[in-house]
Amino acid sequence: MSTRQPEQWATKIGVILAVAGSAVGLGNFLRFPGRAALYGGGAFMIPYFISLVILGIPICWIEWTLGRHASRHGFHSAPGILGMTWRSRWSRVFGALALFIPVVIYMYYVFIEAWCLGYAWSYATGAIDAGPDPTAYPAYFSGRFTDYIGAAEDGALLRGMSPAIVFLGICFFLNFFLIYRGITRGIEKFSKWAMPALIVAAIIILIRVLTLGTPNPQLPEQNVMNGLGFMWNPKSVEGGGSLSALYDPKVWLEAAGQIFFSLSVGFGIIMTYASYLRPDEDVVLSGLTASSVNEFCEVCLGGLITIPAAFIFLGAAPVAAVVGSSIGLGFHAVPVVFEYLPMGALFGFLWFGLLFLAAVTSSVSMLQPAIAFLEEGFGLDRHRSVFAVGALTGIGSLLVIYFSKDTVALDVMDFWVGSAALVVLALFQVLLFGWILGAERGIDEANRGSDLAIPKGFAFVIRYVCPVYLVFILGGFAVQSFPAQVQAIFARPAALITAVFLLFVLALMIALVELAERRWQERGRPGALVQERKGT
Amino acid sequence: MTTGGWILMLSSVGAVTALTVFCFWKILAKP
Repeated sequence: MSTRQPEQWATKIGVILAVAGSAVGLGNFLRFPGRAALYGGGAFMIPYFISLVILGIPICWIEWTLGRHASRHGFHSAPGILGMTWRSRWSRVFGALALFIPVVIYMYYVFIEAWCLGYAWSYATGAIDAGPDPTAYPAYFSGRFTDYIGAAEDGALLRGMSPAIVFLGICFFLNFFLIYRGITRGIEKFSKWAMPALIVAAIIILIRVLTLGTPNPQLPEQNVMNGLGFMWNPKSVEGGGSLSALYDPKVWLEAAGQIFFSLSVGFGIIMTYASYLRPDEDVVLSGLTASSVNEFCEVCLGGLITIPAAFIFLGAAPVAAVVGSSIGLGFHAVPVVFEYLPMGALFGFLWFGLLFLAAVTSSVSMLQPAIAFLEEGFGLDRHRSVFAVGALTGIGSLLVIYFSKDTVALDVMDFWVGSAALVVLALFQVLLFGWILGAERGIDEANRGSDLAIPKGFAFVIRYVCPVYLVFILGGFAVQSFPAQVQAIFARPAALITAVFLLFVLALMIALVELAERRWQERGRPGALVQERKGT
Repeated sequence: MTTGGWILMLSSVGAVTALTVFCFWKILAKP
């Protein structure tokens, strides 16, 4: 039985930065600029902001409200939080999904985090040497990355002590150290210095990029203004006028998807974090502030740095070739920029250092839902819950690093869990809030104690617009990607093994939630949990 | 950089910055 006192955030700014830190990740600096440049440039921002208002922010508010609501009854895990709102078998199933999603995403995200740390270390120690010939830079960085992540052959990283494995070990240790220290002393304390640090690093890089002018007089078209234009000028996707992208459903689908993944809604993480609020703590302004910090990092920093910097030194065609891939943009194209840039090693260190900090604040948040569940579902102490989650995620990460050829395992996890499953969970949360709890009642609950009231009109948005929009996104996925992704699973044994592993983890989560539910029932849910904690 | 590009970039960056400043002002103004 746990003897720990229920944890709470120490400060309001701490919880806001922790939630913002969970949302701010590599997607803000790599995925967003790539998507915007690919799907309409500046025109992309119109569906993007509409999606933010009618999808992203309302779902954020839903997660914040459900989490705080359950905290009054002592629940901090997704199965407990969802079950508090609707005592149904479906709450248990989707509660298990809300544990499954962040745990699985952690398994591969921590690997990417280790790449960022490894690159930052390489720049800091001068280990990156692309040679004197600029024409060889792209091939050097492409080859270096392939070797670094073992993309040429399965099991390549496990022969000897590769740098990627060393940095992966460091990242694992750091994440579990922070989660072991708990909400206040671990996550909150780290977020309160990591978030400002990464924003300052990004602003330094932004100033450097915007003051580059025309670095190579022999290529006068490769200048800052044209770099910004490449990113922000409205353009068509498949022919037509400059705003024709707005008539393309794919652009709307991509914009909605970007908002969805960027704000980290549908992970179950915000819900868990919000359950550590005091019962009368504001959620509306806090939720909006955390979302605005995420948007600031994405639009004002990511949107002005990555593509313009790459354009200035590489030109339009090479950038256009990599904008569709976050990894291509981040690990193939951007390092080339630092070779041309005066004091490039310093800026390379700052860039990958900020990506690393952004990744840690996200990855540590992915562990908390499972830790909270083991503690309140089975009464495990922090030692045991950290060990159990560490063992499970360690096995998953081992799968990712073993099946490293063409990053097959990573891609399977990223599509089925990091993309599709999120939308399914968010759809359940929206239906739960809008139809089971009742949108008006839910908004009243959100507005209780809040410094800013949600307008009543959002009841209509939550009840009707959000579900339809989410079905649209899911439908888009199904039509565009599902057949190819299913074929990909059966095409390669590594992908099939990864898919079977994912099904096993999901089944394990469902079984654990069922066991925890029985335990809660035996103790007279929900009050028993509170009494149990007070009594021990 | 076209006029449309300038308008969309400045309005996007301006809107997000204004929202962020407003939110922090509301939080920090509260005793």
